[in-house]
Amino acid sequence: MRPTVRLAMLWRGLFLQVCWSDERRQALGWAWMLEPWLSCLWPPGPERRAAIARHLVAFNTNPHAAPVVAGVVAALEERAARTQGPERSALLARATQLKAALAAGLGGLGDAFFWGALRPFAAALAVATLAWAPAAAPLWSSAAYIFVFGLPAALARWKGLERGYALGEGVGAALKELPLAAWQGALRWAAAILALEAARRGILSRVEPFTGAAAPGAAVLLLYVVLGRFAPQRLTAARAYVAAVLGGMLAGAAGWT
Amino acid sequence: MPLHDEAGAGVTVFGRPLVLGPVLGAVLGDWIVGARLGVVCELFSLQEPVGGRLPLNGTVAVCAALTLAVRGLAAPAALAAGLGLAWAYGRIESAARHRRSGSARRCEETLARGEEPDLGRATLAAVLGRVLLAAFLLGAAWALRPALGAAWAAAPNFLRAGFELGWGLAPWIGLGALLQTARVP
Repeated sequence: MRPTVRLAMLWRGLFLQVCWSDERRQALGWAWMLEPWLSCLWPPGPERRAAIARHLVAFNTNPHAAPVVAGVVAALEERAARTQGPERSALLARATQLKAALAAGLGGLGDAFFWGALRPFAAALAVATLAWAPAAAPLWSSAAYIFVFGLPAALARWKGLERGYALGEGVGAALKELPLAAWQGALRWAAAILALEAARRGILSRVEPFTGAAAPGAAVLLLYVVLGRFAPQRLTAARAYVAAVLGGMLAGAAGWT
Repeated sequence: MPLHDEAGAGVTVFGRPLVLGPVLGAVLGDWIVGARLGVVCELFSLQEPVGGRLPLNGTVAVCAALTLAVRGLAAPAALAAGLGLAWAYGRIESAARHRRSGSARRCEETLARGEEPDLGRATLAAVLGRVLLAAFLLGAAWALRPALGAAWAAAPNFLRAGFELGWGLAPWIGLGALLQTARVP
């Protein structure tokens, strides 16, 4: 795969979700991401149209993991383009099966790792940085977030496409060797420790004093964690904020403030 | 910048509220408010965008709230307005996702006619739609600043007390959301 094609696919992969639809989810973004490679493999005409049509079916995965799937599918499409007849049909059917299986598997893994562990860790580190180094806070908190989340995510995309294409169907075995579960656990605990450290310091108390909020704030944090155990799907920060605003209004109306 | 939404387009970190808030705040002359709003909007938007779920768009929230705060609106009111506009953005995007349901089928129809669909054009149209929507909401925030300021000044004390409590507790609620997202303990 030429570097220009790889770059084009990675660039287009950034827009994987922009055409997200309820019906086929990331299908349009996925087809657009693969288009440069499909154009290399298949000459204009029925074969290329069939290739595009194959990738317009429903597709959904974690956007950071999508390049791995793209690499595997690209390798299988390439092998199919070099063959004819039943062998080609079998390879294309295999590509379709693998695409669906990898998208589902990597979707779960990617969501748990990138959004359930790495991003909370990056956010917690950036928040803690605001408390630790208030003088240079804008620079350091932003740098921490970019370095801790942005860099690994970009690397995962770049290497994911490369390894997926190089390993083809063997990518599943290679992924199993990655100690993702251990990394996730470590990142989650580190995120929790950093979050509690930020809470201990009053979050932004050194940046902007907000006196009197520490005790009720800690109680709200504890309540949120407890409620989150019982109703994780229903409890969101926005809803808790609305409840706090309404509670404050009621308290104000009752003369408690 | 609102394009850089993890549930939408341009999956990068540059539009995340914790990156954008302090930097944009520094550019606009008040990095402290930018940092505070960035922290809150980041922590409020950590929910995983799994499947079709759209978490709060923290980028829109922080841009709108900062737009209002640097023009003099009280921070508690600016945060509430920013979160409200981000919620509106999410509702409109959700409706757009529903409307886009036929787009892949239209591409298939084009293929059936013997032509190749212009997938890049469809993507560009979706990107432009998001840019226009975000620009409209941020423009609305800018235009509404005097009215919101007057409403805040005239609001009864108990209403202001509610928003002030929400502002004071928002970082703590956000930390709770972070612990929930990390599934610890």
